[in-house]
Amino acid sequence: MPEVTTLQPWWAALAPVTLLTLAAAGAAMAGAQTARRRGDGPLVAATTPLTETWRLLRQRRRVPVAADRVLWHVAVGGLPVVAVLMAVVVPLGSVVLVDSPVGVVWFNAMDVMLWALWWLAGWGPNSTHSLVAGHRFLGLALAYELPLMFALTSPAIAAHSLRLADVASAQQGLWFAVWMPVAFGVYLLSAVAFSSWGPFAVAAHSDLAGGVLAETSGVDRWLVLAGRHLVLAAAALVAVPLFLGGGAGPVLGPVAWTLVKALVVLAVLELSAGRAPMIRPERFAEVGWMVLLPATVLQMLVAAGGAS
Amino acid sequence: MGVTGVRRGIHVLVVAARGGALVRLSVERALRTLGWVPASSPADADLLAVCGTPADQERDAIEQIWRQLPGPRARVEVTSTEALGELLSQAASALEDHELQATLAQEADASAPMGMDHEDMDHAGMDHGDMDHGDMDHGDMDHGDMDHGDMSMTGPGGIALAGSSDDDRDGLEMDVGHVILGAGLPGWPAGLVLRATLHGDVVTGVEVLASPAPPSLSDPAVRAALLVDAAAGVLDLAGWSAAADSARRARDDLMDAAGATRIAAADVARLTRRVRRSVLLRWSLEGPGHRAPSSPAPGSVVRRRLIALLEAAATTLADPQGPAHVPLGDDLALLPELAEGQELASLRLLVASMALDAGVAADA
Amino acid sequence: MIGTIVFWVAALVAVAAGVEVFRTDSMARASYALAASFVAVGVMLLAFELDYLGVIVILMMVMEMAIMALFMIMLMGMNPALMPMSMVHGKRTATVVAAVVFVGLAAAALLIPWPDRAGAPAADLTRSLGDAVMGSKMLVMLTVSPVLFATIIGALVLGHPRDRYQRYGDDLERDHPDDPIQGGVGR
Repeated sequence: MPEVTTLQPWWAALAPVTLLTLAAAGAAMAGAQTARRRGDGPLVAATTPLTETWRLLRQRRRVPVAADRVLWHVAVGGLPVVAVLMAVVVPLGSVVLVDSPVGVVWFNAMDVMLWALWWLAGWGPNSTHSLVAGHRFLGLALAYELPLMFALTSPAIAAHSLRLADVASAQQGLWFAVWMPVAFGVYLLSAVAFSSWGPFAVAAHSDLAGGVLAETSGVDRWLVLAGRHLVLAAAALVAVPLFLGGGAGPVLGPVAWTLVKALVVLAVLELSAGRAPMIRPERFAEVGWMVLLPATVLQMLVAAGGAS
Repeated sequence: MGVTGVRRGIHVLVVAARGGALVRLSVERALRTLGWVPASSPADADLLAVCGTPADQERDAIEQIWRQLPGPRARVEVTSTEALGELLSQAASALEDHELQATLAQEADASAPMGMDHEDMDHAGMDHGDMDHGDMDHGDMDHGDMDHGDMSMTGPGGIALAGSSDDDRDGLEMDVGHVILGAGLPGWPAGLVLRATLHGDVVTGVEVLASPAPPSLSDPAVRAALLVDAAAGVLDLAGWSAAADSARRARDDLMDAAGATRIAAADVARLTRRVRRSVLLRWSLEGPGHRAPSSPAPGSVVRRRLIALLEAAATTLADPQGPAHVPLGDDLALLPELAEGQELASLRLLVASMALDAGVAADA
Repeated sequence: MIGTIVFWVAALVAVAAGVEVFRTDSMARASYALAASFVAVGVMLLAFELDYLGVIVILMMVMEMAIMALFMIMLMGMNPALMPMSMVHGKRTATVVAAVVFVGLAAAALLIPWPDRAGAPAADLTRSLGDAVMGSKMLVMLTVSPVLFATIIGALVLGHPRDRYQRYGDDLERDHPDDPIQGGVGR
């Protein structure tokens, strides 16, 4: 079992800051891509997250008639919280905030939280478009969740542990991403899907007038938009111990390697935006159940065979 | 590219009044040079830009949209392309005018939320606020007098509840709602107002309350620009914003006139190839393709029209003297049949693919 | 010390959220109050250092309630499913039954002379749980899970308004199904 020191609880204050920095980098990448497509310069592009933050924090919050404020606030505030909770089990070099012996399952539980949050974000404002978008997200969730569960199981089986530090150190010879490409692919795809981002942005898309964002303004809107980048950043961080060998790498230290790898994964996730038409849940459901699910089960068998 | 002194990143809800499609194109082009962003709903917008001159009925809808802007907010009415830059920079400074914004905020607080008349469902125009599922507000609304045996059709907040229907596809009894779709939705044609009957998110009926006035166009470049703009709208709703942005760049080049037409024509041709070849677009819109012939496939109608729009634009540019060959005809009458049994989002795609702003009916 | 505080806070939240399920008058709030209650129970299990069980309870219950909220809203076969409505029915009977059960269970918990702990907990509780499930209880698991799975599939097949003859034709002659909205694979 690899030595990982659990940090004192007060270090927890740093977790949101670190994750927010990573998410801001991700948002800047996505912003840069959008700005380039629109023909703006690179400087504008990089500052998009800042100008948008400034704009939204000054904006008033508008609440539609008969909105369910409590559930709406749970959804809006819940996104950043779940993202941080997702990330706290990731070992950063030799330290970790929460050394959970079931880190893989913990990550899975947090991504399931997003089912509730996206639906509640659609339910809260009492608007047809939002509600349809919230329901549509659950349709997508039913399609990606089971393949994702099996994709998460494969590295755990190969490492004989659910602890992320163990999974990371089990990849001394070869990254799991290399000999479990199906699991890694499904993981990336699901990360985009549970963040409702890129080709899977079913909960917040212009074909439903912004979906769950249709009625969201001001700081609420900022929390949802930032929450989405935070979830992407957390998913990118978790991918590092799970599939990319953790902090292992030459010259740079393990902390730096973890962050570098996370940034690369984050770039892949963020830059998926706008590249392809939306993958609609009604189409993806069959793909999830009839293609990805059997594929991930086979992947799991390969992982079990490779591990024993 | 930016204009010094004007803030970037302002989100603008562009609403085109009946016949205001051409003005909308100029406004959207101006937004792009300013580095401003089109808003997806009133809640997202700082600035409301009304294009063209709205009729009385449209004014009501626009007022309703204006009330939904959270603030700081400003509005401009653009009737011609002259002095557009000045109008927009005035609007931008209105957003920074604290006194003005304080007054507007007081106005908003005075009129919201109980004073709004939400029982009146037949105002033309988009409404994000007052929809079909009844009550959700438990905190600050007194419903002591409403025992649950009360089957009245009006819920708290004066909102009409979903009705019921026997012929529902999923056999559920409680989820028939009506939504007015109109100005304020992203990529919505100027002047069109629809009333959609929804079973959950499935469209079971569409009624056209107001149809657009197609512009009569002589300039082939402008005609092509409108066609490409319509294609951009479809691509955007389909989620392929990279392709939509290329289309919009070509559209803006076409509107620039003088010299850029040839470059734009090449861009349009390239985009057409890209759209036609995209396997993912075909799959997303049509499914795997082997559909039983008994039922119509609205997704393939959308894709066919999208390609036809781009091809028509290319033809118009290649042969400016020729007739505007747009193979879409009088489509609005077909909409209810195509949309029935589809999802709300698919209805949006169908409407966008009809390219009503491009004046298809006038040329056909 | 911290464990004790976490346990008691979670216990209070679990009970309070459980009460809220019946006090609220909205389907969505009732469902999610129940989810919150279960999450608190999961946290209590975590405080017992039953990591795997605690996390699994949270995972399963949130997923289940997210779906159950939809069913609550969909299947309340009356128009005002979304109106404020009471979540309590048969109040008197329910109160009596609840009181009796509570008193019975509480009395049992307090009065039964529980034996002292004989062994020590395993070092790795997740592993010992897995050993139990996949070892001595393997036969039970292997019987129960296919039965549960078959029940779900059976209920779906019986409950679904469209059967395979509607999809593939009376003689199942079509290669691809005729669905109102086509899936992504075409089966």
